[in-house]
Amino acid sequence: MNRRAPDQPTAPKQETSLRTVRLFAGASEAAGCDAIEVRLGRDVSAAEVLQVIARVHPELSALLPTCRLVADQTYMAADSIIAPEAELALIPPVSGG
Amino acid sequence: MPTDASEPMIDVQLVENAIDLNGLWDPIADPNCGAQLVFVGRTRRATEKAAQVLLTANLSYEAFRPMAIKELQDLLYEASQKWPLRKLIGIHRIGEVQVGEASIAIALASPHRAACMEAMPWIMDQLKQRVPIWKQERFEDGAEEWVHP
Repeated sequence: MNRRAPDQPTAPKQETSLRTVRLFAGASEAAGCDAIEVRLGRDVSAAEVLQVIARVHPELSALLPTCRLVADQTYMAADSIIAPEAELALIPPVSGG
Repeated sequence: MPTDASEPMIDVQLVENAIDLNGLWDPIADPNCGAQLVFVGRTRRATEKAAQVLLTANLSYEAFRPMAIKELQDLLYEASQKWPLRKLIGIHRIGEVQVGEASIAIALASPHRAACMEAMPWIMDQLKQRVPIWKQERFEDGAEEWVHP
């Protein structure tokens, strides 16, 4: 019943890659650059990408809750899985017109 | 390949210079359209905010270009599916736009006026929600701010 399960062998470390995320407008101003690089695992969701950005770039945290993630020029839903080769961009609230 | 005559004509441009407003009428001329409507958005000088009046010197627009063009094309196409619009042109100026100058023009043509007049506010509302273009306000006192509604 309360016996401790034998230790599981540790899962192989998840493959990660360095991905570029383009920045615009207030986000680019806050970060002081037009693009950032973040290390992402395979099959991450859009929400997870935003979490990683928030952790690595605290200067963006004020704007992040209202930003949308774009992959290959398409808005991603929070649970969308990001394709490994997709071009990423962070889109702050838009104000054209 | 000839375009299907039942398909609407859609033209989207991002431009760096003054928008040719007079040049919008001919391209939306269509013998089957009895209505044409052009909306123009311009840089406004005075904005009332929290009981004070802010004076704008100019606006500067930035775009994520390829996606802005794609989103504007998509939303004009969607408008043509929701209303019987035959000609749709969307032009947005990028870079500095001085007070009084046009930053956006939308030109529409439809057989009857209701389609143009109903579609225009929808198009502008959609544009302000999804087309990745941002404006930076530059005030007369030198302050600058990105507008992120």
